[in-house]
Amino acid sequence: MLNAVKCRWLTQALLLALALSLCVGCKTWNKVFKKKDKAEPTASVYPSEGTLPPPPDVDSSKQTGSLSQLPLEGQTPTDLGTPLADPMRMEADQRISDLRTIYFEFDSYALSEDAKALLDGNYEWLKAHPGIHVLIEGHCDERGTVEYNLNLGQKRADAIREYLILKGLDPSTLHTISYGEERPENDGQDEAAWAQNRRVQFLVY
Amino acid sequence: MKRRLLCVCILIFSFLFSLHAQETHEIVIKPKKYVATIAIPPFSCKPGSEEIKSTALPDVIYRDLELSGFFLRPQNDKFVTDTNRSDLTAGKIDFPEWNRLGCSFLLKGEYALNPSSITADCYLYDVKTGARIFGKNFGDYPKNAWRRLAHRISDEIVRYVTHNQGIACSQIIYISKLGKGKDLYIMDSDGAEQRALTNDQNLAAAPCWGIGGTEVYYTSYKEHNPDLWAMRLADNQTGVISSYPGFNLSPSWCEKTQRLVLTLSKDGNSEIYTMDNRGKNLKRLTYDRAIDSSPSWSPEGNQVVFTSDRSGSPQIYVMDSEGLNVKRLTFQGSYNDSPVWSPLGDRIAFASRKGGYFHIFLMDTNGANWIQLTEGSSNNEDPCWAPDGRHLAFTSNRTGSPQIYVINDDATILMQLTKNGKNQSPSWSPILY
Repeated sequence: MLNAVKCRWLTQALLLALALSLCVGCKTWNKVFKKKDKAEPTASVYPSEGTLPPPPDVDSSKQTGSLSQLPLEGQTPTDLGTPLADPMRMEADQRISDLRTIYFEFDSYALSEDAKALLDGNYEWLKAHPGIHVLIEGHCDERGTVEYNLNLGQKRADAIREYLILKGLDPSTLHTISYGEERPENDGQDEAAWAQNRRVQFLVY
Repeated sequence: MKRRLLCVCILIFSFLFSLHAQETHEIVIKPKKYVATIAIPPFSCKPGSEEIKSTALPDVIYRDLELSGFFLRPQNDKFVTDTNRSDLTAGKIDFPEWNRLGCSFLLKGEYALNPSSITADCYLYDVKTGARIFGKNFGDYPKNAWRRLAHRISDEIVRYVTHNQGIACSQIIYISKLGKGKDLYIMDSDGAEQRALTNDQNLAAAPCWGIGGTEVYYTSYKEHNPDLWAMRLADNQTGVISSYPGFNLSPSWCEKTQRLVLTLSKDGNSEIYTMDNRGKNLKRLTYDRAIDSSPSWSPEGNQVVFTSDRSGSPQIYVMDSEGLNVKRLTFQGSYNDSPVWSPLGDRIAFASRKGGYFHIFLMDTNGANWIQLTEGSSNNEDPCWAPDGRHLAFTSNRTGSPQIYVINDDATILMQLTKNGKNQSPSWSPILY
């Protein structure tokens, strides 16, 4: 009788040990794939504790002094755009009617005069509501390859963010995302539908 | 007499063009200079073994071998079954009869299935000489992995007969939209065993393989930014490896240097970077106001081919792994994109818009000798190379919705791999034994 109880106890102990060792196994994997703190950009590129992280616009390549840090002639890294704000990591789901959607030409991320006029209106609203974080969403029509369109959508969103920063808005409140051709406004397959899909829309967090 | 000959000719050609409808996937084979016919009669069952359909293994092997581009299956299965039966009765192989049926090679197999595993003894013969090319035992494979056993046999036949690496033992990852959202999926290279790897029901994009096929990398929007994720395939564990503001997109893995090349937009513009597979040791390669996208390593890891619109339209460029010595490769066409370097190093596949539609092309690594692989009024995009450097998978909307297809480098073989939902962005694994 005693033996049976002992035996059961031993089995339970062994099972517990096994479960623990499995947990440890998981831990090591999680450590490798360190889950980032949501408030921070990728933690892994920054030095570990004790040292201060470099300023956000300096990446590790620039510290190593390798050839790749040299920009190609006639260009400096600083004139390539403003570093993006850290993502909010939450749903931006509010559409405000005062924040107008901006439309683009095919395969273009240039701002037309009409687009600039609309954007100026958006700027006024945003200036009147300081501290509000907005998501600037770039979209494309379905023509073109999937990956290139993700780039194009980002370019559109970045062009608008850049315009608003130059007007004087706080860069840290302007967030961007590109959905490429993944989230069309109109599912049609004609020029009218495509024109509606080549857009940047504003959402408020 | 002449008319009869004509009839026979028509019959032969219609057979050549006929679709071998097996399971859900069809292979279209155009006649070409040299392919050998191989007969694979139903496998016999070892005494004491559990039974499976005797043509289960042969059917998978036939399809693999047809897809390899080196073999055709005989046009009449009944002749094969009958001849095999008389061989078994006689206790010896009637090679002249197999030769008369037009077969150059003959594979005879015997399987043994027990409750947990499956093995097979296979003998490959050269029909003309009656010589045995190999006699081998394949196994043990878990019972439910019997297709992998068949794929292993297929690749061994290709290796012995042609001295080429087969691709039956490989898999393809891709992005699939079946219900809500787009997730990462995986299938065998013949389109079988399709299953989901992620179930985020959000948006996943542009996957690639890494570390000898043990991990995959892909972009996921599930944490409200297009971050780069890794998944270890042994247990489907996932983790974020690059989560800079803006997109972390289009990874390409170099096995030789163990580096990823990808596109980041964190600096307010899309630029190409390299990093290790945990996002460390970041190095920036491009400095240009234009879009720089879709990078792909050369197999040696000393060059990167990529798309840029710095000339005003998307064109294909190459640079070294330091981002220097940038050279434009494409000068024809207004939209050339999605370049991928062959694992053999000699060619680059890409998508080019021609006549309003995207088609898959091949070119030499200096931009010369374009070969158009796809035709027609539909879009064909996202090429990726098989590990043999002779086959490619790509996305086409020729049936109305985007689906994944396999084509070989002379466009004599075409097979549709996916049918349900919308499927895109294939990436082919290395050989997985």
